[in-house]
Amino acid sequence: MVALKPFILLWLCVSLVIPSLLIANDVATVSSDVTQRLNVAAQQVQTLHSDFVQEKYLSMFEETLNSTGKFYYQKPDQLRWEIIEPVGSGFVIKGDEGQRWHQRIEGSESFKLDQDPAMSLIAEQLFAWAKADLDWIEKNYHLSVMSEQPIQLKLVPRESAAQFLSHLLITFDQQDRYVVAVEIHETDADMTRINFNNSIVNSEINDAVFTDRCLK
Amino acid sequence: MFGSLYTRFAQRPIRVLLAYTLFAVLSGGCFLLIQQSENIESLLPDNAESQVRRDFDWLQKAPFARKVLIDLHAQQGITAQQLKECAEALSDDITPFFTKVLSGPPLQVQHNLPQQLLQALPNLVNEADLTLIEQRLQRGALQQRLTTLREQLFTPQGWMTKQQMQTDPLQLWQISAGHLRHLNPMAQADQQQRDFVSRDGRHRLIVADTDVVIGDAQASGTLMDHVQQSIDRTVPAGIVATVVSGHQYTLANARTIQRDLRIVLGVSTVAILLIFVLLLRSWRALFVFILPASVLGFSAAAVALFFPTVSGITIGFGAVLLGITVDFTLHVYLSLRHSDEAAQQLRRLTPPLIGGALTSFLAFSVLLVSVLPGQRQLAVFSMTAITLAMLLALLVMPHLCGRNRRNIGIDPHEPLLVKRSVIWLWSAVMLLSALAAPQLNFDGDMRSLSVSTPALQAAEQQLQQVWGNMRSSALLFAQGDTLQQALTVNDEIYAVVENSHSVDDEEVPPHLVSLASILPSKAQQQLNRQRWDEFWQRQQQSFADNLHHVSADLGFSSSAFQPFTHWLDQPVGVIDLNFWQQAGFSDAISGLMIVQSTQSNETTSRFAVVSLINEGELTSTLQQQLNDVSGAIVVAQGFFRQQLSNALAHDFIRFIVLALVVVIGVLVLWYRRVSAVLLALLPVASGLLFMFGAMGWFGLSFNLFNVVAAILIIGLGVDYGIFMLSRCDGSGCQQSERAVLVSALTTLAGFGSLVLAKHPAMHSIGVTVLFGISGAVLTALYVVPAFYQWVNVNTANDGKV
Repeated sequence: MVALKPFILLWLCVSLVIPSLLIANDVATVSSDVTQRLNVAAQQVQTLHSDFVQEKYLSMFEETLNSTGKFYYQKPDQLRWEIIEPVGSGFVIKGDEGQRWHQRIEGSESFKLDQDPAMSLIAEQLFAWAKADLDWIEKNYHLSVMSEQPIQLKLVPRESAAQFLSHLLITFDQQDRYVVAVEIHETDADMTRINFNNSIVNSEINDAVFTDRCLK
Repeated sequence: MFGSLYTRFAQRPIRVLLAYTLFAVLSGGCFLLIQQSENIESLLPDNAESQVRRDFDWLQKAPFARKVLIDLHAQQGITAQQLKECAEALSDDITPFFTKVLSGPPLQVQHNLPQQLLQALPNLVNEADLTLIEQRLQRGALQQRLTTLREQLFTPQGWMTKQQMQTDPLQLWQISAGHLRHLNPMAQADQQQRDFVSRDGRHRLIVADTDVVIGDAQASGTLMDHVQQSIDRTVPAGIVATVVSGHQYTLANARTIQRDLRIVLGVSTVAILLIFVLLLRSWRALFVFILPASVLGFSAAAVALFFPTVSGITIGFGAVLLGITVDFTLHVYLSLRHSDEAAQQLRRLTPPLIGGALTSFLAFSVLLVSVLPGQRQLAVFSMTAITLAMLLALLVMPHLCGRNRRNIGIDPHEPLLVKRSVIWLWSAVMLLSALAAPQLNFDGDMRSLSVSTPALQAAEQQLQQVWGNMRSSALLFAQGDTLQQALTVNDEIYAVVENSHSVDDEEVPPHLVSLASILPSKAQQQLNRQRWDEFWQRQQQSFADNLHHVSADLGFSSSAFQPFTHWLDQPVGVIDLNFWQQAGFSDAISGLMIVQSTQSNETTSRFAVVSLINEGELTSTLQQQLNDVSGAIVVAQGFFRQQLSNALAHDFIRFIVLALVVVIGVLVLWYRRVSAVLLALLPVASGLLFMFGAMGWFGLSFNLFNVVAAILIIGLGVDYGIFMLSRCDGSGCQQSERAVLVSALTTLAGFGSLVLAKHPAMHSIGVTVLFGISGAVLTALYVVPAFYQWVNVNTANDGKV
């Protein structure tokens, strides 16, 4: 019986410690270092302007859907998301209000975020990426770090988005200042990848960018 | 007989007093024991052919009957956001005082609502819907729609709508959503908003539900105080809050009555004190008022004996009408107090007193045939009160009035001398009255008897302008022993309205708020599903071909819309209440459904489904068609008021004619001489004609309260005639004219002073009494003696006397 003791202790170690190590590895919480780097960088970003290329891998289509566009953000609550090719469309948000448009339709349509749950959800996502708002992200997603240099976060939705989103992968630039890529993995295995390039931080952005459909 | 009884008990007045005290105590006990009902149902007709009571019952169940509506209006400089924050703050602040507070349609919209609306569609679809769907199936329309869907997938919105696109590429859920417009009672609200926001965005509405009964003045006051305090706390400058609810009318009425009572009681107390000091001058005169008042309890008990519930309104009116019975004690008091031969005076007084009591008794008896239970109760109450008061006047009052030695010994046969010119003056006044009397209208609208301040009227008007006519919509009830039966009737109502034309636009049916558009009966759902199946049997093949080609052209995979085509092949289940409750429509549906326990058995229930339609759309043709639907009940407030008005007008005319016939009959039997009958009737006829004429000249209407007060005029007017005639022919007492004068003055002081009241009902009583009693008493005191002298001189000259 005495001889069994080392085996029992070994078994306890194997059964209790090792799985916990494995789990810890899989859902590594964001270290204070990463948090601090992102928070410091986010505080320095006042405006952000990027071009983007979007690739959609959808089972509904035989081929990949590619599109390009522009993204503008100004602290704290102004945003423009515009698709240039293959079809012009987009929206601007300033505070609680916004406008959206489509190239085939003259003018633009106003909306209010508190009355449009879908747009509200989209705006929250885009602002979260732009601001690198970790508090908001942690409230809505289970957050884990896939890589620390460059920082890559994995976001698994907690509630409202869980019905159509499996997870997101967000990659920041080398200086942690802005998002360079977002991968949106849907529950049905469809995937969207958005690569942001030509990003410019803290340049002056004309007010009209966040209010008008047409940019001069 | 009463003279002998007086003589017998004159030596033992203590026994009489003890007996009276016992009577008064028992009467008081009865009054305290009797439960009085405070509702106004006793004022509604209860005859079999009248629909007023039934309509009243249904009106109580109207969706907006107990709601408190608060409109918030943003002035210049206030942003939409500030208005929204104000509405939210106010909603939160008033929530503890209400059962439910809504600032938007009662829909808890679920994320999967489009999916649920699609599931419901086969059960709801009508021919117009199928036409729309057929248009969407055309190749060009399909190509356009799928192109839009494809483009949407490039946008961030596409992340969320992709699944919905696959299951419903034709966006058929929008057709079901179109049916939801029938759940919106606020036709003029901005349909795009999630809250109650006006089309111009400058108004927001809060709708609060309460258990406080509209008629409960105290609870209404507390509730409105809470609302006002919340408004003071949460509504900033630049936003105007306007509150509209039935409770405010109750409160306005209660506060006006309180103010009126202070004024009227002050004026009448001073006037009665003056009469007391100048004309009665003895503490014993108090018994003139105490004795009639002590019959109140027994009179109420008599009502309780014949009616299951005693109306508080009846007792209130009854107490007013007790004023008639003061006449009896007053005549006894003045006659016996100023006579040395009390028994003889009592014998002389008894016939006119019984005559006066008999005419009043019989005048009230005609109310027994009224269609209003309240008036029948009033008849029993008054007949009992008159009988008891007359007996107290003849049996008890003689022992209480004492003797005034100063005026004893006046000759009762001394004639009353009045100038004949009075007759000409009276004739001129009566002629003028007769000219104006036809202009008098009967107003049966109960609202005109209620206080409505300019502020309340302006608030109602604003609410109607901004939000539509929701508070006064006509109600269409579909009844059934089961919910399915009620829904079947509701389907028929819906079909009738949908097949009619709006008054404003003949191209469209009237806007109907109805459950039928989203919850048809099972039978109707089956018909709709059959229609749906037949449609897709015709269309499915060509649709499949079109979808295949168009989607392939746009790069969609062959399985892209498989979820939709697969769904079309699946059998569709019935939708029920539970389906919509899960979709977040519980509150919206419960507001349009009534479950009521039957009276005989509380375990069984009846169901009613309510639909609302603008009363202006309810043409006589549409109303007739709806009335033809078995199980349907149409209740419109305007129609209800008209019915009530007709019932009351009919009742009033019947009562006046019957009362006059009865009074004339009694007087004919009593006097057996035409001249005496006419003279006895002169005060009441003059009083009524003067009252009608004066009200006609002043442009006043005759209402329910005038009718009841008119009884007072008839009762007192006939008494005045009988007593003055007995005074003129020497058979009565020498103090009769004084008694008539004091009676009239006390009546004017007590009830005529109500003319100073602002409350329409109290004011109406005051007007009736002021004009009627003034005309009657002046005629009795001056015109009756003048005519009597004229008639007697003429007959003496003719040698017939």
